[in-house]
Amino acid sequence: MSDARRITDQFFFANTGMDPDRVTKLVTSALRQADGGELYLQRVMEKSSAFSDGRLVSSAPPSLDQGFGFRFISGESASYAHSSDLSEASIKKLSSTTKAIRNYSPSTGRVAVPSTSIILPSYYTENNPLDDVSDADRIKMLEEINEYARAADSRVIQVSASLASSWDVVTIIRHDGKRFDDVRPMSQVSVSLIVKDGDRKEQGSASVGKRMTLTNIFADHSWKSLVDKALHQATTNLRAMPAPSGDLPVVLGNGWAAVMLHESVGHGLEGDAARKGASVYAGMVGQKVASDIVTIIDQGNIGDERGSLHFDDEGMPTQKTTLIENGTLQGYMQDSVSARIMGVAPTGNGRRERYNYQPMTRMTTTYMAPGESDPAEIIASVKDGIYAVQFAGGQVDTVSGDYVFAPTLAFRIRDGKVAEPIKNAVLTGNGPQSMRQVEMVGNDLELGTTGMCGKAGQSVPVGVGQPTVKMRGIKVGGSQPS
Amino acid sequence: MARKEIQNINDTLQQALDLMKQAGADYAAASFSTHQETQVKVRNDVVESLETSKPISLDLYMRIGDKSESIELNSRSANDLHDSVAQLAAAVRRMPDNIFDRPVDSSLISKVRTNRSLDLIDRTRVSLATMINDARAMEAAALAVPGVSLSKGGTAGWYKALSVSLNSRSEGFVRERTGSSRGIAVIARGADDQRTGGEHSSAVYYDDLMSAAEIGRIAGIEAVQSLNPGKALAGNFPVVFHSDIGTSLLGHFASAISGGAVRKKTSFLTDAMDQAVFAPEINIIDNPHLLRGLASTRFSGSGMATEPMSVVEKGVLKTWFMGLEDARRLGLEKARQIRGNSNLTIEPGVLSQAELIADIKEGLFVTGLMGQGIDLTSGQYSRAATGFWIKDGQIDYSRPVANASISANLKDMFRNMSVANDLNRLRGSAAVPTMRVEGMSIA
Repeated sequence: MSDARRITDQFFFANTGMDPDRVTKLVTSALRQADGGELYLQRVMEKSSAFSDGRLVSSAPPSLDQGFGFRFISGESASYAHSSDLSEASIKKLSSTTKAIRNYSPSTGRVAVPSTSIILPSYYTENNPLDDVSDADRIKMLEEINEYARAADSRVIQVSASLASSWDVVTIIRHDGKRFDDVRPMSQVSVSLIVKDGDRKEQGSASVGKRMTLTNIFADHSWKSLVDKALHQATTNLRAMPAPSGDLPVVLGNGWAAVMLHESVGHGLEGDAARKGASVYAGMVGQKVASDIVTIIDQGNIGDERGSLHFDDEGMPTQKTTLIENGTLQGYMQDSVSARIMGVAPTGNGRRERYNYQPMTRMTTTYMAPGESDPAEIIASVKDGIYAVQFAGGQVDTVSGDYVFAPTLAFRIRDGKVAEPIKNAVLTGNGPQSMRQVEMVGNDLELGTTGMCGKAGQSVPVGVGQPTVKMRGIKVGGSQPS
Repeated sequence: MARKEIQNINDTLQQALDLMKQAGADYAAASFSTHQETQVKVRNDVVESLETSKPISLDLYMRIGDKSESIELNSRSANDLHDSVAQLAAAVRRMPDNIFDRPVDSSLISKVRTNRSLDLIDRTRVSLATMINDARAMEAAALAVPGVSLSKGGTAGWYKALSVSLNSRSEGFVRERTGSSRGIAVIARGADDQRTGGEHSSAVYYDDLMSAAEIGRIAGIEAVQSLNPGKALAGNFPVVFHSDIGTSLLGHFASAISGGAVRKKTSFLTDAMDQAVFAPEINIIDNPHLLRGLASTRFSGSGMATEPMSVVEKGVLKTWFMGLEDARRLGLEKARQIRGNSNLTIEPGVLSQAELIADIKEGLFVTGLMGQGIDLTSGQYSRAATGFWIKDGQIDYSRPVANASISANLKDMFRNMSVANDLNRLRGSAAVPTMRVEGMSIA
């Protein structure tokens, strides 16, 4: 990890004139009477090239966003101040404004922190993804994508594609003076297109975003495969029939379909919601919340995954956290404040979108463990139902457990066979109720390649994954009665 | 903000413009934005969170010949500024020619360069103590409603925002505004169900906010009334949207008539200009000159003067929302107004809410929506709705409904829409009355 230290020393100290020892002293002394807290220094460099409407619309001068956030924790409360001015004077001034929180929420004792330093394996490259694939080559690639997509089908009337890279450089100086440095890459390739047939228009899209360079993304996912996937979605929907409505069995494909479990259990198992009584899963540790064949895990240390981090945005190491095991709730994801209030160990799920936000409990990569069933047998077991493979995202009300997610590519299953494509369905369910009705879990676990999670106005990259799953208890809302 | 601060900002902008000219710019523009913000959150009467901030952002735009690009940074340091301008110049040179992005003619630039006439600055100093008291008062009022079990937290906030822009033709603009907001969410618990109720208010002036007591009361009642929802009937029914929820439909409409989507044919309304898009009784106005309006402005993003415009007249679509480049590409650069949406309103009808729903035998009154099932290319709309069943012309508050899917195509929804006379401006820059849509599929 010495490279990360060298990089952060350059950006946060050499470039700005700040001295790391003086800054550390500022932090420890400002937080001397705090229960916890930290200084979060960040510099994010991003660039993207985009092609749309047959031409280059953006050619990626790298944008720069840098600043710091300072948090003072007292009892169950926190005070937070942030600024874009990376200077000792600014840190000193703003940090001193934060101790006023003690007047409103008295100390309840120091937050426990891991006492030993762990030497972490490397989960992602320290190379700057902005330097990978020259601007000229990015532009050339976008031109090729545009040409290929338009030639692929005469019904294509619009193509948009983008190549984006970001380099997120972070230093956390904790209340006890311990310093953490991380450089976090992310690259993303996205394609979307519109097809038209008569007066019907449909769209399709595909995207891959991971913590690696573009070159490494293309080693596993050619841009052709992304265009083909987007085109398949769009043209299939041109001939899709209106979806039926009713309580039909639902088979969810593997991979990105796991947006279902992100909504149905993920948010409800975030420790901050649970400890405030704002989750339907509050107080249910040790109870059966899903069927026996369901095991759900949140794991922040999977190499190269978009949801992965070496440590969370409070400096806690990430880990594999089993949330539900064979249907029984084991525990929640935690940020350090929630962990302390609930009297459990932190899990490395304290994340923030950027330095101008406080951390809160967030997911990393959330997935269902593979089961025993063969995916072909799962489809064959359904007399009348639906098979949904691609999705637009979802939403949940964690208090009641009600959730919704919408497929963008789905099919009717008739007599055990995948039949006509259907569209405009919306799938609704209630977390505990539907997870108890998971009937078959496939052996084909796959992680999705895209995903941004929004919570309380903060957006962070996450991953989701699952095998093929058959479940009941999800209501299919279409425009045709079933 | 202080004159001195604006002077400092203008110096930074001039410095950026000079650097861009030295790097070869034929035309350059720079803008600097900052705001001062305080937010408090109170839960169970304890101050749970206090946040203060003063971020900055610098946007640079450069044109060499007919090639242009822009960059954003939030550092005022000379080094970062030099680096960014160098990167920007290199990026500009990589771009293809774009004659549609030429700067607007000077003769069309607004003479009015500030928003002072729109009453967007509240001089009241909203103290931290006031915000904490307001949050506590909302919580107390909500918890006082019988049946409310616990608080999710009340928040109160205040900000003051400033944005200054300047271009190489020495045309400069200043945008200043203040804003206040407050809101609360609480939970009601039943035997085996729990539901949230919430309410919030935003305004330019602190004194214009909905009272803390009223916000708390509404949130508490919503939580209690939502408990133990039953099933909606399945089939085709009229759906009535609460005025705070119907604004989302107006938002979908605004996106579907935005220049980029129209030009790239990614919108279901691409060919709808001068067509009957809404029912004949619907009129939609966009007014950027609303005093104390949350999106009010005397000038557009490209510097042209704004004026109120009629977006939909007797159901017929009269204009797109577009930037200058899109307008030119569409051959519409002579249009009266070339800008995005501001304070967008569906004008009130004549019937009261009760009269609007009087002939609905079975239907759904929607007070909440979840899900992203809106496809602006096909117009298809499928979301999960929460609310109350309407029976024999009355909203039945003893029949809450949750997570019912409602779907239709926006084309049909707009054409089969009627509105009441109860326009509500207490939140956001978009405002609609209670809205009734015929024939949605409920499941």
